[in-house]
Amino acid sequence: MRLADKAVAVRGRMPTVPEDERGTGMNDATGVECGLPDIAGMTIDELRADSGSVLAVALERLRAETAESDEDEYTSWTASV
Amino acid sequence: MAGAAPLRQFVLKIRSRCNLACDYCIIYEHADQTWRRQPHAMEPGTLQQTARRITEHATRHGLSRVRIVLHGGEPLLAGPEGIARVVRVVRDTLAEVGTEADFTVQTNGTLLERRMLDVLAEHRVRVGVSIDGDRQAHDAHRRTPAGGGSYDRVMAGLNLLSGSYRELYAGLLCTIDASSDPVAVYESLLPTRPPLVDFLLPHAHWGQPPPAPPGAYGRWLVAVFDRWAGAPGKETSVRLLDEILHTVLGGRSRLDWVGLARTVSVFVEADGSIHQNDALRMGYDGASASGLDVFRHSFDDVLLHPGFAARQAGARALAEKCLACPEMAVCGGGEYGHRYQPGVGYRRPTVYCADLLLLIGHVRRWLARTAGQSR
Repeated sequence: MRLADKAVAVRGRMPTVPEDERGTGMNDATGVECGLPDIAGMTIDELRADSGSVLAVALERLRAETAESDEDEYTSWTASV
Repeated sequence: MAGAAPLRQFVLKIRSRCNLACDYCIIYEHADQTWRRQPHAMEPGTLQQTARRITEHATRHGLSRVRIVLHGGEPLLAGPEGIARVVRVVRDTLAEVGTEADFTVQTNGTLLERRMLDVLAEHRVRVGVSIDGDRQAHDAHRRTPAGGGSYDRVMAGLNLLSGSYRELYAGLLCTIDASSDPVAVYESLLPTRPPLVDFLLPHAHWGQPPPAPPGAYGRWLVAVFDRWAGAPGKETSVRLLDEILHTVLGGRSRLDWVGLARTVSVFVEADGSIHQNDALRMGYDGASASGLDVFRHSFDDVLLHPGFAARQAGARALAEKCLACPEMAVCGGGEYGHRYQPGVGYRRPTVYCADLLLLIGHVRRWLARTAGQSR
């Protein structure tokens, strides 16, 4: 499975600075640049990551998910007590 | 109900009171005062009926496994025998139709003594503990009714849990205080080697903004991300960061407040009333109530409730601004309760919009750099 098939299709669209929803500080807070990973042409296997690293674990999870049924759906919710 | 996802996580409020008085508590310190109308404990008849309803739902939808979260108040106030009884009733009832139940208890950690842990081990109940970092960070908010700190008692329980009872250790839950040092807080959570850390944004909405200014929580989480992702080996799962990274990569989020995942959780109060989600409690009194209860309604009825339907509707429940946002698929509008605006409702961006955009942008840039290095 090519990662391009899974990657979020947002190329060329930059997250915009939201309007000032809370009155102050919004522009200062969200200098979000477009730093999209240019990985559309790569397969998961071509993305190298140190074994056991956060990225390696994330890629392994993505690889495993592609083999799962979409019906295996669950989410979690927890709150502090 | 066509297309509705069956409920798979049942949060049972087996106790409605707590032995701590945390200043940010979603149950006691916000607009919703449901707890005042609740019995202190879930009665045996209510528990049995809840178990029947869960079993009925599992049968109708062919669920081979469901998750049960024992919650409160402080659920361990039920005592070891009380916990054993709850687990036995629910598990035995589900077993009649061949459905298995995975149990977790979310506790403040102050009652994790050896006898309690023995019972939790005997009944295979995994344990999540709420702790807000080191002593100073924790005791600033998580205090006893008399005003004392709770850190020492929590750590005593946590050391037991993570030592002799390690197989029960589900993880830690930490509410963010943006004035704290993010790296110090993260590192203070590592010594017990938690399998998972959940960082929660403080309960807030547009009518009750977060304690810190816009962006402060995003920057806090960015600092944690850099420390976490920069380690040579993955030290623990930081669920919020894991889910954002996974969703940025194109994966499917399994956390309610990331991505466009459909919520499959439901809450049952001590009196058997069915509630939507604790996070809604900050809006107004009764905000989380559904008007349904386990005596008169099935969990299929829950799926028809507008509040639940909205939380399964994905993008269709989002504000126009969210629909136009390039990060919609990753952010998913954020935690439902954080979208509330008095007089408007929930069709608003999350009050943490700036923070989430900042964090997601940072994860994208990190991924671009990391992926670039692999070429």
